[in-house]
Amino acid sequence: MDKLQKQQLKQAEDWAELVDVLRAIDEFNSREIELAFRNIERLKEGSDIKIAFLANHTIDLLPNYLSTLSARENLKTENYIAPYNQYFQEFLTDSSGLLTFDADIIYLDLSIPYLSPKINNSFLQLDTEQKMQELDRIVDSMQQLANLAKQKTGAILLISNFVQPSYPQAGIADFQLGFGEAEWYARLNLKLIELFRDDPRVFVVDKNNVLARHGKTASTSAKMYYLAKMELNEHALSALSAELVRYLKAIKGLSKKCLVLDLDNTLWGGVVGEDGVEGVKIGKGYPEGEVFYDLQAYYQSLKQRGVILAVASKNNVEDAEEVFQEKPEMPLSLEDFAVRKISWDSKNNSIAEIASILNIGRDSIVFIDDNPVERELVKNSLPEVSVPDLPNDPTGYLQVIRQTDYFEKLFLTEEDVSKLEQYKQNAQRQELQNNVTDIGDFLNNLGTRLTIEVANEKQLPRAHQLFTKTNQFNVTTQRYTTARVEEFIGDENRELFLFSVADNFGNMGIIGLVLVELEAGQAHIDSFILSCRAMGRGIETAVMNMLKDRYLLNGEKKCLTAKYIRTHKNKPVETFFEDQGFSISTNKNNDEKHYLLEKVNAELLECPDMELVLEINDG
Amino acid sequence: MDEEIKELVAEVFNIKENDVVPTLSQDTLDNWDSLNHLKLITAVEEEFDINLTMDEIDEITNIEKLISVINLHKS
Repeated sequence: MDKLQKQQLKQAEDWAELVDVLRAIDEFNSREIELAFRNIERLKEGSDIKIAFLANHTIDLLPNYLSTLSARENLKTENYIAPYNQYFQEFLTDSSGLLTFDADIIYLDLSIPYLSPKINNSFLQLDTEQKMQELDRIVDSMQQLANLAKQKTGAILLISNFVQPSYPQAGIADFQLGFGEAEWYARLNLKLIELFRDDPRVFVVDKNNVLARHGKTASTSAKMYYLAKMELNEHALSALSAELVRYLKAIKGLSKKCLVLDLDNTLWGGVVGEDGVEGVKIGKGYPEGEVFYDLQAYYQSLKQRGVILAVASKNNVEDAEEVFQEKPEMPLSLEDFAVRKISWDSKNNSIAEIASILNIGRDSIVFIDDNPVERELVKNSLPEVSVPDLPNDPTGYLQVIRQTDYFEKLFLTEEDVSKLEQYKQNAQRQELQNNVTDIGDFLNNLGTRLTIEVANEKQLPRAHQLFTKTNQFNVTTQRYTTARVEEFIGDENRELFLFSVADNFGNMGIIGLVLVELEAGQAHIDSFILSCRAMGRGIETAVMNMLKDRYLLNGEKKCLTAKYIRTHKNKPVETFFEDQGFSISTNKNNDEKHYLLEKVNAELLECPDMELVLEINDG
Repeated sequence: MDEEIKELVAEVFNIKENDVVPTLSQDTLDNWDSLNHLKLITAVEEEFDINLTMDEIDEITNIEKLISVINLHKS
């Protein structure tokens, strides 16, 4: 941070300006973190996410690092640091700071030196049974803490795993011990993974690996450890915060959806238009070829994670496609891309067009191009698009791209893994649509099968994902936590319906939900969400018909009520309820409309031909 | 007093530079708690590229002592 940046921090007048200043700063030392944190506290109004920190070592500086790195992502955090070493008490006392804080996230960071001094200091004096007992005891406490967190709070619990010491007490003979230190830590950490793998509210943070990435011996200052029980120095705090930001982004639904790639010198070495197919460098067996081979393999793995791949390249289509055809050994094939814009059009136009074809926001796009001029152009003309800077040397690309946290998700759902297929099917549907003149005919002939079912526990991750990630077709944009969604599922005063769509082109999986609150005489639509992939084909009308039928025409309720809350993204549903026959009951202000549909006025609207499967247990 | 020290102390304790005087101490400044003491030490070590001993860290109870410890290491 230079003098000017310090000035800018101190003089920033509002949050947006502060975020810009923070984004321009590459690195923060401990003093600069304090300065940044102080100004964040000065300018933030309210918070986006509340985080409680529990630890058995001094962790008081971590929140300042995390707040600073979060602010760079435009996230305002509010922090609570539980008193040192009181993690059990904080859960067990109703009036504790933790329980009154009402955290969205609880970060629990326990370390072995204080949890088990025996293991830390006298490992070699313990026999196998004693070592196992210590391990079981720790696992039991973690389980108890997780249960307490789930019972007593609505927060998501992040638990850090345990850091294996850099030097085992037995030295290089550790692996030869019956039950060595490396093995003890590996087993303990494995237990944690197994314990919480299927728990939608508990996630293990790989602190052991985060510190290893940075260098364990460089992550601690012995002096601070002895003086203040502070285990992590400023480098480690920074690295750990960066990891936690990945979780925050995933929890807040800020991950990106689509990766747009350039071709020449990005997917392969050289320029196909000049060097010819034979001249481009990609493949095993020679250095430059392997650099791009590994890059392509990484993009392929992103695709497996549910990221949509697209191409924006200035090239002749024939040249570009020839590379894929002539080099089938490349990890990526033409079919891996949901959209390809290969033309002499400018990159910003191509990217804008990709966003519109895929029906996603530009802020869901990451663009990768080796050419700094193209990157600048896109940054300037499409500021919502994320454009990572790449080093000049392609051998450095992978490191930079892997470090980014654009695409983090807490878990991969089946929908993620098959997402590319779905977007491609959509592109095919679009193509069919372009060939038919009558939209009604087109929709009637898609062979749509709509399944509406009551949500169950297993579908919790997907339901939560829809709540947090859907922006456009989302009438109220309530970002419920996993814990809240879990409550809805068992609540007899609420009905949470999920709907999925399949058609002649394939299965889209669960693409929307409706949350209804049942009150005496009326049913209130709290949330109505439809993934953008399924918009424009009458699904919403079919679902609304089901609701009208269930509650009014064949039900006991006198009326259906609903709400529209404006965000800068949900314009597509601005008049959704009007279109469905609702009338406005109160117009709170320009940004919030309340609706009413009375039984006498309820009628089913016409919608495209589709097969309707209802898996609703009327109890 | 060295401007650099003044600025650093003011920043750590979130006070005005003019208020940084040699007599400022743990007893007179509410902000000078154990956590801010650590922040002060870390900042000083980072800024002046020095390594303070545990005893020195204990001794720094006012600004006058802070200055003398820093000078000792710098000379």
